[in-house]
Formats: sequence, C-alpha cells, structure tokens
Amino acid sequence: MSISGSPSPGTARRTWRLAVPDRTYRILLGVAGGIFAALLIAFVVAMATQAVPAFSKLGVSFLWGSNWDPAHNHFGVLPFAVGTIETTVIAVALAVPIGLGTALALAYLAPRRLRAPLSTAVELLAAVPSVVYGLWGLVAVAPLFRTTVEPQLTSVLGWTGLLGGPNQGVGLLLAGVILFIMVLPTMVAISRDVLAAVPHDQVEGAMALGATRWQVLRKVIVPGARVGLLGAFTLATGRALGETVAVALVIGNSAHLAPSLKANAGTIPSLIVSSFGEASGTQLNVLFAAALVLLVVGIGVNALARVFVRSVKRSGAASVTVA
Amino acid sequence: MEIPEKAKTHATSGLPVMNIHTEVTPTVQQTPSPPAAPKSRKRATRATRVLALATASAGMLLAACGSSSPTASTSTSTTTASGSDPYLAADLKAGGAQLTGAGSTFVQPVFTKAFYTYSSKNSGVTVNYQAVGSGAGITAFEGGTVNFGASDVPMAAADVAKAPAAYGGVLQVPDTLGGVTLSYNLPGVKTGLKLDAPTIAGIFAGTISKWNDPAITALNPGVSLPSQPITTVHRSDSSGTTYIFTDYLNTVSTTWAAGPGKGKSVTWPASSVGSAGNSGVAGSIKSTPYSIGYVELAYALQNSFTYAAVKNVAGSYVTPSLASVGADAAQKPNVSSTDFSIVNQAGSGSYPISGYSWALIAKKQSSAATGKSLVAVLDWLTHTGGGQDQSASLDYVPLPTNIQTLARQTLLMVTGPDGTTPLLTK
Repeated sequence: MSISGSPSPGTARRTWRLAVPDRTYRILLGVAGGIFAALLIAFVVAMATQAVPAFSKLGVSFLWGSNWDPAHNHFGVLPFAVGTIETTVIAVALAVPIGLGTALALAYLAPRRLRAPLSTAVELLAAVPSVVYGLWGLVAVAPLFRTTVEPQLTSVLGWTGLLGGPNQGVGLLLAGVILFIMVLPTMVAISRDVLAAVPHDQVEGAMALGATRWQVLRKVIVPGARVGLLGAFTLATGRALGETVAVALVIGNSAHLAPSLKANAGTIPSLIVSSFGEASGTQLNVLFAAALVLLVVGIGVNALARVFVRSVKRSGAASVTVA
Repeated sequence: MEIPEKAKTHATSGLPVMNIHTEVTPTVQQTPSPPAAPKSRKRATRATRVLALATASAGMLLAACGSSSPTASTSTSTTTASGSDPYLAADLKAGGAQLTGAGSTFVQPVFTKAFYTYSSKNSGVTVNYQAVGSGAGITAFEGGTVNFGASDVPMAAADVAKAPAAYGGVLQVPDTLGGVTLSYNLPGVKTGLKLDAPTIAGIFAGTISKWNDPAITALNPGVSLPSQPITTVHRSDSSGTTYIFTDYLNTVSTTWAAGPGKGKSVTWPASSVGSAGNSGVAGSIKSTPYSIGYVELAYALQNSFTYAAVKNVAGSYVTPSLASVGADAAQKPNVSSTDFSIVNQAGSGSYPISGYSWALIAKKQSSAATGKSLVAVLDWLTHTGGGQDQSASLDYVPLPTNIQTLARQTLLMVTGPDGTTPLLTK
C-alpha cells in the first residue's frame, strides 16, 4: 500500500509520514477482520464438536426422523426443521411484497413531511426486543386469531385443506404472522435506504424520456436497487429462521409435523431454547446438531438468494439490450 | 419450573440490543431523508449507521454469550455478624467458605431465601446458587465447577457413573418437596372440578376430547359441563414439573405408560399446546377458554388459580395444598435416588401428584474445610428450625420428618479427602 513517490528527499519524508497511518490502519483492519474470521471458525468448530457424538451415536438418520421423544431416546428433528421453514416462508412471503411496498412509499411516494417520522417509527420497531413481540402475540393477537381471524380465514380458504382443526389462536399461522411483523422493520428500513440510493440522474433521465411514475419505479428504481434488496431479503430471512423466544411463545410447541396452518408446531430455535437447560447426554448433542442444521439452512437460503439475483441480473441485462 | 428465569434471560439478553438501538436511532432520526441533504452529512450518517450495526451486532454477540452462562444467580452476601441466636450456636457450625451450587430452577425461591438467612446468621459462609436448570446443574456438578448440584430428578445410574472417580461416589439428598396442580379455564365452572386418574390420563392423551364426555360428567354430578373441545396445555420446556406429572400418569395408566411414558419432556399429542414455564402454561390457560394444564403448586397458590380436586388411591377427592402434598410424601418413609417416586400414595388425605427435588454432592470432598461447610449448610437447609422453616412461607412443602432424618443420614456419609473421616458432626 505504500505510495511510491519521487526520489527527492522531501517527498520521501512526506510519503513516509503518510505511510505510517496508512500502514497502522491496514494492520488494524487486518486484526479486525482476523478476529471476525477466528470467531466464526471457533463458533462452527465448537458446535460441530458438540454435535459429532450425536452423529456417531444415531447416524445421520435422525435429521429426517419425524419422531421426537427424548423420554424414549428418539430424536427425529424433521418436524422442527419443517416448522422452521414453514414459519419462515409465511413470514417472508408476507414481508417481501408489503415491505417493498412500504419502502417504496417511504422513499418516493409518501408526502415529504411524513417520511422522516414514518422512517423513524420503522427503525424503532426494529429495536423492540423479540420477547416483547412474542408476549404481545400471545396476549393480544392469539385471542384475536382464535375468535376472528382463524374462523374468517377458514370460511374463505377452508377449501384448500390447509386450515383444518380447531381455532385455538396459537400455532403455525400465528407464529408466521408474528415473525412477519418482526422482520418487516428490517425489510423496510434496509429497502428504503437502498431504494433512495438509486442515482437521481437515472430517475430523472427516465422521467425526461417520458416514463410514468410506475414505469420509473418498476424499470429503474427497483432493478437499480436489486442487490441491496437482496440484502434486505437475506437479513429478514435470517431473522425469521433464527427467531427464538417470540416463536416459542406463539407456535404451540408440538413435536409433530403440523397437519394444518392452525395446528401447533415447533421450530429448531424454539426446540433448543425450551430443552437446552435440562438436556444432557445424547439429547444435548442432538440439540447442537440441530443448531448446525439451522446454520446450514441459513447458508443455503443465502446462497439460493444469490443465485437468484445473479440470474435476474443476467435476464435483466438481456431485456435491456433487446429494448 | 424453569422458564420464568429463562424468559428473564431473554428479556435481559434482548436489552443490550435495544439500548444500543435507542442510543443510535436519534442520530438516524436527525438525518433528513430527502436526497437534498449535503453530501458530508450523508456520509456521516452512513458511518453512524455502520457503526450502529457493528455495535448492535457486538451487543447481540455478547447477549448470545450471556445466555449460555448461568441463567440466574443467587448471591448471598455476608454482612451481619453472628449474634446471640440460640440456633446459631447449636447448628450453624459451618466454618468460613464460599460455596457454589447450580441446577434446578424449581428450588431457587427456597434456596435464595434459605441461603440468605444462613449467611445473615453465619457471616463466614456465602452460598452462590445458579438456577441454570437441572440438566445443566448435573453437568456442572460432574464437571467439578460447583460444590453441589441440584436436580428435580435424581441422577440416573448412567450419569452417576460419569462422575469423576475422585468423588468417591455421588450422594443425593432430598431438599425440597413440591406438588403439581391441574389448573383449568372452564367458563361456567369456576371451582370444584373433580377428576380421577383414568380421566386425567384420557384428557392428556387426547382420548377424552370434550368437556361433556361421560367420563368427566360421571365424576361431576350436578355440574353442567359444556360440549366444547378440551384444549390441553403442557410445558414445552423440559422440567421437573413435567416429570412429576408424567410420573403420575405413568403410574396410574397402563396405556400412558405404553405410550408417552415419563420424563422431563415427553411426546404429547399434536393437539396439545406447549407453553414455556409455569407462567407460560398459566398464561395459556388463562387466555384459552375450555383449557386445562398442569402447573407447579407454589406457582398456582401464589397466583390463586382454579385447580381440580384429584381422586387419590383411598378414593377421596383431594385439592392440592401444602398439607395434602405433605400427607402424600409422609406415606413413603424411605426414598432413595433409585426409588424416589412418591406419586399416588395411599392415605385419604394424600394429594397424589407430588415429588422431591434433590441436592447432589460428592461422597469424598476434596477439601475438608469446604466440605465441612457444605454438609453443615445442607444439613441446616434440610431441617426444621433451619431452611425448611422458609419453605411454607414460599408455598413449598416442608420435608416430612423421616425425610429430614434420611437427609441427615446421607450427609453423615460424606467424608473428607482421606475417605474415612465424616465431615458432619451431629
């Protein structure tokens, strides 16, 4: 990184004087990066060490076994893995369109005077501890679901066969909806920033060419912010996958595959938080293995999103050349 | 018996993150969102935001680390000098020591108060008890990081075998007695629901699914029971409460024994709602009409819950109370770490869903001085006139006399590092 200057002694000294802070800065950054990498490795290694006995005792089949019964030493984590994915899908499927819409409105459409207070409100929501969302879900939303939302939904969408069973408030659907409310602020805050960061000359250029507001949003702003939006999506998915306490409070905590959206279910984080304190022996190892599975699922989602964006980028580029 | 503390952890572990955000948000707030903002200011904002993100993630990291460390700890400080208390001279014999224990959250209220009382009478002794859960308590005890462990279920033979050889064996001392109530929310039936063993097992197995099922109506003549589905609520976290309750179901119902069995967490029917902690189960019952669940006795008494009277072996319906749980425990004069179940005992006054919690100590103490303090404290804890006097005021059941004697006999077996000198002098 040293800046090569002219051979004159004066400049050399100046170069040297510049180089010291430069080098120090570089070392500091290197240390910071190194610490992060070391932490990550230490974290994965520690988890894997704890998880290995589970694999050596039970093989790998417990990962797709559907019978979770610690009293009889059956440790199938499939119901929890499926529950994790189901709640995350519900949350993200709701959060992506609504979050993107809110972000667009905050960045471009809402009256200027409202933007700052609304943006602040969104950021404040992101700072609410998750247990508060969970308690609110259990105390306020669950009764509403039991008496109003679930009966209504069942009468409209009952034909899909996804809404069997009694209306009990807590369950897969409520967990998904609470998660959606929790990831929405993350989704909106980041999306708004990246949407607002699309270069103004591009927006103005499109308008000068006679594009309508809708066309500008759809063809200039959203595509321009694609990569940032992917970041928002990934963070939101990550939060939904890993959310623990709030989910444990509202999902009903069953160790069975949920036959319906209204049924009780469980997720890997909620399983870990509820059984870790009292677990010992094989069960403890299995919980670590489940955490490892969650980590892999998280990385998988991330990778999928990346592949998706790359393909969108390519087709986007193609359509531009055609037009 | 576990989650109130757990919930607390998460509340606290959530806090640093929140604080960081509240500290940071104002700076974000100041930023005008229109893009017309001066460039330098915009850059500053971005820097703050990155910083905020970094601090927040650091906070989360810390919080995450924090949650793996002890959930709740009870430190009793030593301030008051020993006075002229007559009991002090006779029984507070422990020399100076810093003792640590870890385990069951069920016993935490009793331990906190008892050890505080002890320290205030004998300023030389401090007991730091960490309510991390029975499983974690056993792990800490086996790892040698604490002087004693506490578990709601005695250590299994397999676990005892894993204890360090230097321990010279593991001694398990009953220290606290508790019961489990069946709390319900049944609009129209405020009090006085009666249930017997087969009915309770049927309800929790899902085979009795309506409140007006003949099995329930037959036990409650004159009570109009609604034709509503029963929502059962169980503990989603593994806990000693679940162990005692399933131990009862396992004892009274062969179908239950062949199915879910007993344990600190078992497989419940898919229709049963799982909630974390006594408070979680209680909350679910409160907010769900036509529900029933099991809640630890002290918690139910302190929050004045509606609970069912349960038919015992003698055929009488008994409501859970300190007296009826004590009566049940008194029926079994001898318990041991392998024969410890006291559910479903005879006696017309016995409430059948009860159980002990246990302290775990090494038979051979590595330090005579510390070991001496340890056995003295535990002996004081398990006796009337000592720690057991604190139980009733906290809605825990004092240990029956024969169990107090048993605790002393067990503690007399503890030896110093030489393996022969007993440490407890009585």
